[in-house]
Amino acid sequence: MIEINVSDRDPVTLVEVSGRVDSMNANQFGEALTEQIDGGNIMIVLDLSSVEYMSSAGLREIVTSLKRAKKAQGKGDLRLAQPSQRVREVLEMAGLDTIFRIYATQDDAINSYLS
Amino acid sequence: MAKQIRKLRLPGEISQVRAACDFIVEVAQDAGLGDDGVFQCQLSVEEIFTNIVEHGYGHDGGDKSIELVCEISDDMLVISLIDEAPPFNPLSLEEPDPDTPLWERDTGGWGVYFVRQYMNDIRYKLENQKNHLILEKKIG
Repeated sequence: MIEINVSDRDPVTLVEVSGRVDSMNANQFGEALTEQIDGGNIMIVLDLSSVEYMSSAGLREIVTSLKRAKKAQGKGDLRLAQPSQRVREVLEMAGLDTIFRIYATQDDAINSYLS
Repeated sequence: MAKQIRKLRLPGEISQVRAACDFIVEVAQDAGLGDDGVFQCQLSVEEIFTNIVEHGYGHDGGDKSIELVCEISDDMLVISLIDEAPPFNPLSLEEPDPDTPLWERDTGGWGVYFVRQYMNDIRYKLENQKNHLILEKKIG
């Protein structure tokens, strides 16, 4: 099960995800991110603090979304906040901890767009 | 302890991923693995199961199956995933490189890579025209 909550932290869009992201629901996860990016919301913070499990299917979606945001007009970004230990581990195994900007708190991630 | 064998056969569909994961979590816990080991087994099985559904069966495996066979001994959990897709050894593919820059990344190959990191051994065999991917996880 996955829950996705999108809120406005103008100019940043906060996407909070809870539950697990696996091959059964990664598409739904990716579509939620695509909807925001294609809608012009290209400064995204993805809060993963409540994601207990993410497999390569989920990683695939966030990499695709990062590329999409960066290619959008205005050159956006997708930054990660508070990944759990398990999610951090898979990010590191895939070398994504050097590709994504990852922040310890939601506020740090949001404020990173403002400085 | 005498070796225990636990089996589960599932339709080869993505909708069965959670059932595969739930089964492996229970087996891994009963085998005495800690939280980390249980997580690693679950993720490994999800990755391989998904690969079979997507690449082996081309998302058209409703009339085919994926069998999970688990052998539990005192010091080892052996998990075999057996499918009826055309013969293919996923271990023969080149591994992705975690140092690949963003724009050079394609989307595939990480499943087996994670399994290699998490399992003590992984091997493939073709037997009776079925693909067998065998994962071994030490206990304790």
